[in-house]
Amino acid sequence: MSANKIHELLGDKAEYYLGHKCMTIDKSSIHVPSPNHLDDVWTQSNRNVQTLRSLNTIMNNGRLAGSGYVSILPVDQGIEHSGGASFAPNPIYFNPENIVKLAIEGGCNAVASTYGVLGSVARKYAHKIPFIVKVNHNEFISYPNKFDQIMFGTIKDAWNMGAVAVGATIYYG
Amino acid sequence: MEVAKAFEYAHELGMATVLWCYLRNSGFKKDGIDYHASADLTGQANHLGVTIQADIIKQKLPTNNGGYNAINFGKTSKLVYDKLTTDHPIDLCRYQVANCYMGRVGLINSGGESKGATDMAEAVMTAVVNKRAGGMGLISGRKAFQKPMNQGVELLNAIQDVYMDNSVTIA
Repeated sequence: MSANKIHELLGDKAEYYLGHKCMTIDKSSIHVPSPNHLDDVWTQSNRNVQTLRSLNTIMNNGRLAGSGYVSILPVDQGIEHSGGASFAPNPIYFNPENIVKLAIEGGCNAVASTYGVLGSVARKYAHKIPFIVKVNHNEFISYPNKFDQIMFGTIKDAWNMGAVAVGATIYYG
Repeated sequence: MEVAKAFEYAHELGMATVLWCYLRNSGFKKDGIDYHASADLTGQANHLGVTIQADIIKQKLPTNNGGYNAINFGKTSKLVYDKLTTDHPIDLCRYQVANCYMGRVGLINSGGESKGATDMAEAVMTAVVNKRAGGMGLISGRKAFQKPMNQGVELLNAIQDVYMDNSVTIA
């Protein structure tokens, strides 16, 4: 997609979005994503070497590989919003393999989905695209609905299926 | 607490941690305005999320500001609204980035629901705001999978093109 197309999609707000200069917190005071983000920022941290490798794996896959930016496909809405609400518009995604295929063909850095979804195709795909295993969810089949994140998988099993990252939800407030 | 422990164990095993860092409280609506994506409240959620050592924070793009004052709870500073933010979505998102340890922890914004025809324009706008604010990317699900696969690929690629385009700068 060309810069012209971006302008076109932003319509009459193109200048509002593309021309704005932030005068609140200057860009010089933030760590802007870059190809060196891992070396510049994370190597100063307490994250262990394996975790740095995992982050590096995510940063270096897909069309944005090596840019410092990530594009991730998340498909875990089936638990909270229901499988029907999520997949009725395109039922092929009841099949986990199609979720992973969309992430690969879409050039994503990683695919984020449930313990069940990613586990069902792990042997075939965990080495082809980084897995982010989402371990907790809020299910909405309890009546009345309640806001409560419960664990659907374990961290160790996420690791065992070849995941490079785990994801979890917290509802603050 | 459960998530903090899970993240600690994931890190021990060498896995990165991604936090879906959301707000949910029926009291966060006031006078018909929903503050669940308010810059000050989501900023604080980010600040809590990075504290439990999330490596990537997933947050909604801010839609407004002033949640603390509207709902009249918690603690904030007048300076947050006078100096650190404006009404511009990029400035509001910059405040979210600031609350991820000034960008040490990557901020990825979520894509939101699929509405059909406007998905492409909305996704590109979200990517432009996130990138120009100093965010690390986009995590877009429903806009990508609630349509034919080829159109989903097209949408994901359009998002990526924003990040690959050098003319979309940091604001």
